[in-house]
Amino acid sequence: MIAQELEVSLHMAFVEARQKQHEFITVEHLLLAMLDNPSAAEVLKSCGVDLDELRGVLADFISEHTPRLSPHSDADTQPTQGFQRVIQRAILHVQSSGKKEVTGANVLVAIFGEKESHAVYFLNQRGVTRLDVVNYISHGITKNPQQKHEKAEAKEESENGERGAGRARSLHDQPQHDGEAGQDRPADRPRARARARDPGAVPAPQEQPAAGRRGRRGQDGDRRRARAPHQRRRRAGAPARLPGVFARHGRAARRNEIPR
Amino acid sequence: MDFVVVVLQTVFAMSRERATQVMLQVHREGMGVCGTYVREVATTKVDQVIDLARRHQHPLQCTMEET
Repeated sequence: MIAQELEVSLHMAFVEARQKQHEFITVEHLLLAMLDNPSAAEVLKSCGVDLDELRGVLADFISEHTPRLSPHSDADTQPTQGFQRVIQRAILHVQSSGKKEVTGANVLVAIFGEKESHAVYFLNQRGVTRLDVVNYISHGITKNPQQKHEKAEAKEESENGERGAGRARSLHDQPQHDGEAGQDRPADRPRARARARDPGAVPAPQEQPAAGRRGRRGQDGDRRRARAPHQRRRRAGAPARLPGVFARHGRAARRNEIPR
Repeated sequence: MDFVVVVLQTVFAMSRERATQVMLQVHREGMGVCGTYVREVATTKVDQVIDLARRHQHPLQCTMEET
């Protein structure tokens, strides 16, 4: 039910709270434990969180706001209602989605369900929203460009690895006129844009006339030479360039347009 | 009255004197302050008090207010 790694993290959280004589173990304790949980820490890193800084903030908050047990009382550290709700939410979610084990990442998502919790406030303060976390878990979409999820890497390979270019490009959904891409003449722009919206609906320039022209090329060589220089240049550059253009405007580009 | 003092001592970690003062305030004015906590801790404490009161069959009320 509960994954081994999460079991260890929860146990460590309890041991630490008990050792510090905290009367309660809160959602903030839980978030602090999640920073040392492999799956949750991976998600947080992908959202651009400085784990050590957050750890310090949480430790300060906990030591300031958690009541201590008096040394001579026999009462034990107990979880708050919020803590129990979070764990319950994580377990219910995993059960209802048909998975086998609750991981630290599931708990991290469940923490966001707590209303008016300091743990959620600290996360939001660092620009982490529930959507960021869920996006990374389910699609590998990361806010931190250095780190990539294996799901994202697999997708990228199938999309020609043009992801970085796609992100910059998606801002204005138009061919960028630099270097070889600049050979997309103004007349071709509507077509390029249509291709960007729906690759495959509008054929790429070199696909469309290829069959006919290959036959003509032999007998009609002088006609080719009669073209204006800039047109000839475009044809020459086209085949090498196009796959890249597709990747930049296709699914990869749209995937990166998710607002963050 | 004794039960209220015991609750204030166990749940809110008050000394016997302080607990008695708060108990008398509750007795005379109908309401007294047990403490100020983070929301999460406060809800748990309210729940503890109500649970304790119910188990001992006392009609003691405990609520939480924003400060």
